[in-house]
Amino acid sequence: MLDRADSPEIPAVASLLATPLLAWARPANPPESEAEAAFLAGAALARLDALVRADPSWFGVWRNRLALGAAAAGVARAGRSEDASALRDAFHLTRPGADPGPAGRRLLAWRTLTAASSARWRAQIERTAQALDVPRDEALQAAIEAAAACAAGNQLAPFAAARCHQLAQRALAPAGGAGDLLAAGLADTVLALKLKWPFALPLLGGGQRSVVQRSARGADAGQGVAILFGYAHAAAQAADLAAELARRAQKLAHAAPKLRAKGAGSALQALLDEDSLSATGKISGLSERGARRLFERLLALGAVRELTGRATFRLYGL
Amino acid sequence: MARTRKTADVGPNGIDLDLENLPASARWREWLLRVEAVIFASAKPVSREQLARVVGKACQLELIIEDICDELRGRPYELISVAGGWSFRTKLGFGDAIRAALGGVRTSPLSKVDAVVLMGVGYFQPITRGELSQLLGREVSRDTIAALREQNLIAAGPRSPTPGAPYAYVTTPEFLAQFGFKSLRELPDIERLEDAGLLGRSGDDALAVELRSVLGLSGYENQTGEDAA
Repeated sequence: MLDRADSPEIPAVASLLATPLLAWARPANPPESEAEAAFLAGAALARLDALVRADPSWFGVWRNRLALGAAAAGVARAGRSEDASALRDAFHLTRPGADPGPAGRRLLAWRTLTAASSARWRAQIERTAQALDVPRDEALQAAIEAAAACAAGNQLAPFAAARCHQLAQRALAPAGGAGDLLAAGLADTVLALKLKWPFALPLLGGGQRSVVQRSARGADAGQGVAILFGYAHAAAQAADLAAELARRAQKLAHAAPKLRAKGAGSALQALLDEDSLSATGKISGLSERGARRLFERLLALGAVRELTGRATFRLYGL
Repeated sequence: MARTRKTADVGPNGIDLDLENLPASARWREWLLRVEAVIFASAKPVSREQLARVVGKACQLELIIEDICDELRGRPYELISVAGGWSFRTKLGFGDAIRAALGGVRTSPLSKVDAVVLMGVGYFQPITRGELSQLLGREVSRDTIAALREQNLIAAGPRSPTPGAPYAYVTTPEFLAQFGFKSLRELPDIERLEDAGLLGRSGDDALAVELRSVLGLSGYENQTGEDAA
């Protein structure tokens, strides 16, 4: 992966992917008709599809940061006060196997949903449900079956996802806000299965409250438009994040030749794979002190950011 | 694979899962009895995956559970869904009779202080001992934490990024099982706290005071400050 970052072809790919989504594909106002919404969703999803298939070197950090955003949005919607940085802390400061708490579990759930292969999506959804405190009962099974049916059906991807969202939301209505979130996660899974992506991206799951709620309340006709618009919006945001990360990854690649520490290669790869890193997180070939020195050097070079603003327990990432 | 497909599906320990030689009603009955036996024999709530190991693929566990619940209608105990699994519980009205006969074995060994601290962890997890002390308006001792950990009601979760990196505590599945909650969302009044935006880490004192009044803890504090309540 890293070799590719150094190779001459990467600037070409990076510049293509770093181009922001064109203004005409960017939904300014909620579209009036389903056709308009479908056009916008198609344009934005085509960009995401290109990104997923290009498999750029900074893919891991993109996926993980989208998962973090989805978890933070879900936590806020559940009425909790933790923000993205609190979720990062819970993730980094929990020993393996220990329980990171309700908010941290959501982050783990979204990471599972985005990281593992979409072939095992049923197990992933069940784990997500557990993290969201949704009981594993008939309602959950019904929602999962609805998703399987939508993924196997003939509808085009965003329409199948919208249909799945509607069915799953109906089935999971008793679970309240967590059910809404899970329905969105199922819709994202159906989208990924339909587009033959190797994993799901949290698009509707990380989407704004208004979109999900509007679709919950609106009439059936309006619901489809809201979901399609939700996808257009979320995909545009994910593309923006990708463009930003592509730029930062390039900066990191420029800084790479200036590093002389042993194990710098694996640290750089880890920075491209993970949303954030702490110096204590085991990086092969680097001691804790070595990792700290390396990250501080990269910080001085402007190639990474320190994400917490603290003097201790610092976390570094693109 | 080919061999198992030809013969019936065989579970762990060679149990015949599909029971194809039995008529449908007898098969259903056998599955039901197996499920009931497993839940009866287990000290902990039994999960769906565990139950799936003793029945055939065609068996709908929810319907089995429903049938068992129907059969127990007149009995003093019932089958309930807790902590992501199923468990037998004596019905609420028989608590006094059980205590009278067995001498209070079933009463909770939690002191009042333990219970209040446990509630604090339940609502505000992950939370450190220092934050709990601030929240409850009095020092929460290490002994209280140790007692709750001993009973496996709370566990160490993430460490707090503050000096000394103290552990923040979280509740365990055992906590849910003991109090009969399916999930943390069933904690009483949790929706009021959500609406007030109070869940998660609590930082300032004004918030802690407000919170104590929401939870009806005002009388519990040592300090004076109850005029607001």
